[in-house]
Amino acid sequence: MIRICILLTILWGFASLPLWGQCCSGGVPIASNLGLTAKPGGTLQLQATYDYNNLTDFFTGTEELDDDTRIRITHSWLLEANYDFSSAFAINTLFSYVRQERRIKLQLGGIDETVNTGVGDAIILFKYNVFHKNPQSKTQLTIGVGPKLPLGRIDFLDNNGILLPADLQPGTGAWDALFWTNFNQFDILRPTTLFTAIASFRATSTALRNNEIQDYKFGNEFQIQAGISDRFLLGNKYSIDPSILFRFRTVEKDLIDGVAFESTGGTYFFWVPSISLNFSPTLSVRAFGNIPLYREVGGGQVTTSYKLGFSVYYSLNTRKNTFLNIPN
Amino acid sequence: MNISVKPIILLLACFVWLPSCNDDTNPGPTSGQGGVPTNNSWLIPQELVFDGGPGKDGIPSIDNPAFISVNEVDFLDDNDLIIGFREGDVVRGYPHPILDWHEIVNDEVGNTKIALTYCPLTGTASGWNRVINGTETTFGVSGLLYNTNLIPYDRNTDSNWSQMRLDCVQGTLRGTAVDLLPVIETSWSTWKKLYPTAEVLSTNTGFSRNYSRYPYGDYRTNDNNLIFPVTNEDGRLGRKERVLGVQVGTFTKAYHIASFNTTLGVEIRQEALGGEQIVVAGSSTDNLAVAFLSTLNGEQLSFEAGDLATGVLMTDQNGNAYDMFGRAISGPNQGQQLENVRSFIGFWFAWAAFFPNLSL
Repeated sequence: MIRICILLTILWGFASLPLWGQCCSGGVPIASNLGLTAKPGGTLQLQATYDYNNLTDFFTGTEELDDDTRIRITHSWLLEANYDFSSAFAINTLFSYVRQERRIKLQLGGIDETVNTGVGDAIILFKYNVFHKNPQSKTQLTIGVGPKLPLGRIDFLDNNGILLPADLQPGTGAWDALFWTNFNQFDILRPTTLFTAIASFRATSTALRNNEIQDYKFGNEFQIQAGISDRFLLGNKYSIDPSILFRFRTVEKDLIDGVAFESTGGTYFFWVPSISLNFSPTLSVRAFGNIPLYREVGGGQVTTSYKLGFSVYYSLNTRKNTFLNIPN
Repeated sequence: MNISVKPIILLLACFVWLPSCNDDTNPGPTSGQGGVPTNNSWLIPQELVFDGGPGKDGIPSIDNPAFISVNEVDFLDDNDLIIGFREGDVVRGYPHPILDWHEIVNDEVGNTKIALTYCPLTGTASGWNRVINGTETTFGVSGLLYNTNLIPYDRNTDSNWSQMRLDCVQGTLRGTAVDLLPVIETSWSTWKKLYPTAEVLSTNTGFSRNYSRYPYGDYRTNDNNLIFPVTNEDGRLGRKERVLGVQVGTFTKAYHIASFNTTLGVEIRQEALGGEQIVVAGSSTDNLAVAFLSTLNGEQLSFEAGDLATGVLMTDQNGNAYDMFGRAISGPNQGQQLENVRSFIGFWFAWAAFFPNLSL
């Protein structure tokens, strides 16, 4: 019964997905970096990620304009912890620290630069394993739901005392609801070949912005990342996990006092190459990128040219008093 | 519990170290390194100045405008609006669909150095003399907004100006008034009939933009769509109704363009405003309204509507015919110019925000 209730909760979240949405640009990638899979009870997983999002390409609709005068960069440092209470339940938290950069080539020469840094928003995700991986089943399905906590500030001023715009603030100021699911199918080509899919939907809420005069709501966001990975031995001690993933992301337009803000929202499709180097079953590092294959934005926006990321992963089992011996 | 702490330390150290890889040791926000005005205090409430998002020069002004003839224009619809400026025999048009993407054109017409400023969010256009205190400058888009209205900056002093207040509001030129150059605004269909030999700003701007696409969605027509807060609201008209705002001394009045009688073609309204006699000529059909002092050579004139199809906006009791720029194009006063009243067209909400309790 509890499985059905949780499943219905997740399905309710996905049922309200916008299938047509547009997108915004330089958000902090907290939802897209939730990716820790289910482990046996007592397992604590930690992952630190650096995410570099370079937004240089200027688009209107699906048309790329020949303009390189504006650069937006979002650096995100994410610390994620996941604890499996049992084979069924887990809690996952993610905290962020953000550096937003905006550079514009001035028409008479020089660069106008705006930089802002601060603690970003956080996520607490309550996860439930619907299907476990075990000797009889090569399928794993985990679902999760939880809040995004508005820990990040939204009231930073520039050095002229002017309030920075919403996309240069580290936080969103709003409590959002996050619905998340992870599907894994093991042994699809070889015993070490894995098909994985992670989907999330962020139902956003409203925050008071612009001196608390206007209601600002970032657009609801849906994304799914799916692909295959495999494991190859590197000598007799280490192994590598190359993967080929694709990511689809669609974001509705932001709303100001309930009205769509034109130059926000969009739909993206990325190729996500990735490789992990496993030092041990419990310690690994991963490098990944995002290369855009399709972009459609609302109004005119600078949008992601590419993303790069690097993460360090570590896990331990607090009950066995030994390191785990479980493939990631 | 026998747990190795080395991997945990490595993990945490990595997380802590990564932010420090950046050369910026100041955790607070920084900006405006292209030049900070020496006088940072504002003549307007600083807390109501907002960063629009694109940033300084993020919306690029056109600094080397190119022009084409009317019959070469293939990117405008009849209902598109165009700003007109006349200097001697040279008439130039600046279409909204280009201005929506650039907001400022730094131009030179004859001996006049003009910055054509346009704010898509308040629908206001005005011509500014680019020679300030004897020094020529150009204007750029600061990326800031007050009452959701454009704040241009001048590139000589980096001072910020308010487009609708028509003065410098921050920087070394703070308090300096704009030397306003009169412009008119009408539909493309009217413009091309009246000024078939005019020069029209070309889409060859030096920037890659899609000028056939309006970048603000339904903003022009949706009264609920207001991107930034304003200091005053007035419900007498819908927010996006277009009005001609006229200022004489401290008196401000708005003329609702849609209220001009459509059956008359051009409707003439003469009245006293702020101690001056003015004439306002408007046409809702042609999306046009202009205002002038109604005296010329010391004589009080009485105007009647002209036939705009022939280029005549109005005539006076002496047999003079005037065009949209207020220039006598025939009659005893041919070649003379009615004196412009400080006025420009904009959305009602913007005029109400800047000038509370204005007359309507």
